[in-house]
Amino acid sequence: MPALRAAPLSMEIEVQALRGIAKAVVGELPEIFVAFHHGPQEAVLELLAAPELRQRRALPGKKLFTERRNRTRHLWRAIIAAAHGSPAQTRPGNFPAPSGYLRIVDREFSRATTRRELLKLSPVLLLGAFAVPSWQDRLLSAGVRWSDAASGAMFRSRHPAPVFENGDVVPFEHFPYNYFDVVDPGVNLDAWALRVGGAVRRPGAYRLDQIQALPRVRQNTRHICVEGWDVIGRFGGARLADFLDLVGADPAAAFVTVTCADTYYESLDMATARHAQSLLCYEMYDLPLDRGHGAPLRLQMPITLGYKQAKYLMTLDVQHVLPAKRSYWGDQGYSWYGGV
Amino acid sequence: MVPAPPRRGRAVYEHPWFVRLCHWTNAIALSVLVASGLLIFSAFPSFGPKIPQRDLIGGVPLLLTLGGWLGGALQWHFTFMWLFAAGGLVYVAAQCASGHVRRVLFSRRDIPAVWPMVRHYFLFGPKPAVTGQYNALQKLAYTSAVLLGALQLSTGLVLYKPSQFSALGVVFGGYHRARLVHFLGMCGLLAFVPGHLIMVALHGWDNFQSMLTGWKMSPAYDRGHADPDQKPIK
Repeated sequence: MPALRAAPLSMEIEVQALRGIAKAVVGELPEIFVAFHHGPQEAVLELLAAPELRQRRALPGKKLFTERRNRTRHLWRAIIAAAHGSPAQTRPGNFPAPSGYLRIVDREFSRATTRRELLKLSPVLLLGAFAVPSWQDRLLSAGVRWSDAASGAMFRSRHPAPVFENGDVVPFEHFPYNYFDVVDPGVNLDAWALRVGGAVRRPGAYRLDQIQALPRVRQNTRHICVEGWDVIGRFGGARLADFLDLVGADPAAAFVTVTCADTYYESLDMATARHAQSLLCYEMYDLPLDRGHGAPLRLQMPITLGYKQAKYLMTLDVQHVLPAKRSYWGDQGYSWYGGV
Repeated sequence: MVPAPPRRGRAVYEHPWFVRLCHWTNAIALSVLVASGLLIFSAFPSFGPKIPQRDLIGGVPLLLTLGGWLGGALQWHFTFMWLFAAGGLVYVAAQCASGHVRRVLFSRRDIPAVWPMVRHYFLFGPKPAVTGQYNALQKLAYTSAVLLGALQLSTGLVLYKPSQFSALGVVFGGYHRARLVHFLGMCGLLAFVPGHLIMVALHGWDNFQSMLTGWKMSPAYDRGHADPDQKPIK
């Protein structure tokens, strides 16, 4: 046993010598070759199934590993002890735990093994479904619905969106007009009233002064567009939650839907609608809302993207079930939930 | 006639099943996220205010993007972000649980070995002795790639839910900076990919195959160990 000396870590031990050690120390591993080598940072104990064992095909590689694992752990400790001449060297910490470093080495069964191992990757092929044109839309819609469900689940109804100092608010002229059709659909502001229906106790037309009679909230919040830009603006209005209470919304209802003076329409889940920062907004920068920003009344919600914050509101309904037309942009492929 | 005794060579089981699975799902997820992300970025190719807007790029070639329009790109992004997150979490958790993490995690002890490896790869320096499955530079690259992935997930969370995760947004210096960091993180991951592919190509089929089957034939770091049947590797 030429290699058995109290050795520096770079020492390599001959297979034959180790086999001898294995026999001597454990006494029952004649069928296993052992190769042991280590570098400065890791030590590797490798097992080679002996030819007679291979021929019997008794144990493929992986099996050998699991079945011999406990025994090889003893062997490992014994080898280290023998190589260093002291069992103290086997204390944990002197060497990495052996289990992560045990490798079965044999090319004999590697053909079958590699085939099996390759097949284990077959789940990756499932992603190919995304390349099938007729499935793609459905899969991606399912992905967005899943994201929406997760978003709803992680929504914290008492967590406020960030609010900002007056100095952080962008000048009014830097607050963009964003619209999909016309910037001013020509609402008759004098005759305007919000028609409220659905699951409410007091349906009907609500004038702007009735809405303005509710407690006024003014907030400097970030308006985030799905395109990626954002502006910090100053908004004022009544809490949508207060208005829902005013009209006697059914507490069991799940959605609020709105339609606009143009052909826009939108819907909100009740948790979003009843958030303390969700406003029926009639003011920007302490002035009445101008036509381009949605006069006389728009939704303003710093907890959603801009496209959820419908402008030029004409009707508001409290619903138990979402209608087929859920959301102008949501129906075209954007997330319906749209919460941030 | 007596059959010839089986030839014994050396092969090492390098990559466990979960590592290979996560590697390939992450490769696909990353490609989808980059391509759709470029289209999402091109909807507002700036990191500053909306007005006055300064576009940083003239436009992303549509060929490099995925989704066709902003809504489509968002669908891809919001679907494959889950795959990317799952692949990353499973990879890290399984690497830690199996102990394999010690092979690949860059640690303080690897620092001295980085420069000799850089000198070898880029300055035609001598090849340092290979003692483990990964050299110090590889460990550095793989560890950074995982950290970059974690950075992308956290900045992505800030961009996806800036109100819900406003506290995390503060960590990255606000919404605008998070958007910039998310973009730079993508650049970092993209910088990793060509180096990764070139090194795999240089090291040959065995190296590629081991990421498919887990087994690597005749690894260089295995050289010279006492196996009488082992042919010396050049």
